[in-house]
Amino acid sequence: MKKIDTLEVITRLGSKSQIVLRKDIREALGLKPGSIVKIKKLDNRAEIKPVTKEEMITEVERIAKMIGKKWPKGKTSVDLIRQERD
Amino acid sequence: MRVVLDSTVLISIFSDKDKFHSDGMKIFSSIMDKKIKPIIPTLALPEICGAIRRNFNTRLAEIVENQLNTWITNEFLSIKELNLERMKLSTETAIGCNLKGADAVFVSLAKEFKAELVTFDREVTNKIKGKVKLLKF
Repeated sequence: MKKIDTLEVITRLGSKSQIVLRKDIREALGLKPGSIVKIKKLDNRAEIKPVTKEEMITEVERIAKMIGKKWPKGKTSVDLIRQERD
Repeated sequence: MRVVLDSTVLISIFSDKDKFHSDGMKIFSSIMDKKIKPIIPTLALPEICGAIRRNFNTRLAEIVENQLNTWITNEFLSIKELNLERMKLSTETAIGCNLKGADAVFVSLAKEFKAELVTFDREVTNKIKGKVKLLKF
C-alpha cells in the first residue's frame, strides 16, 4: 500500500450512479476489484473505507451481543425457526 | 464448495447466547474466506427477520435484514428464487422425505445444486439421512 495521507479527486457519477475510484486512490487504500468497502453518509458528505474480514466479523459479533442480551433463556436458533415453520 | 445454509445457521450467527453460535461463526468465517459458497432460498430472509421481529423487536430485525442484504449484495450469499420448477422439486422432497414445506425448500435446493446442507435442526437431518449430503464441521 502506498503511503499517501491526503488525496482529493473530483469525479462524476456514472449512468447507474457508479463511482470509479482512480488507480492511485485504489492503490493507496489497497483496494482491488472484489474488495469490500463501507460507505458512510456523514452530513453533506460520504466516507468510503476498506473493510477487512476481521471488521465484518466484529460487526456481526456486535449484533450478536445485542441480540444475545435479549435471547430467551433455554431457547436455540432451531427453536426460533421451528416456531416459524410449525 | 457449495452449501445451502438453513435459517437456523444464519440465526445462530446473530446471537452469542445461542448454543450453536460458535459453529455458526466458523461457517461465517469460511464464507468470508470464500472457502464455501453459500446458497439460500428467498424464503430465508422473511423467515429469519420474522423470527427476530417476533422474538425481539423491529429494530433488531431491521439490523439483521441490513446485514443479510449486505452479504447478498457483496456476493457472500447467493439467493435463489422459489420458481415453479423449485416448487415442484420442493413438493417432491416434502412428500418423499416427510418434511415440512419450508424444510423441504432448503433440502431440495441442496439437491438441485448438488450442495451440502448445513442445518442445526435434528428433525431435518434425521429425515434426510442418505438423501442429501450434510456439511460436517
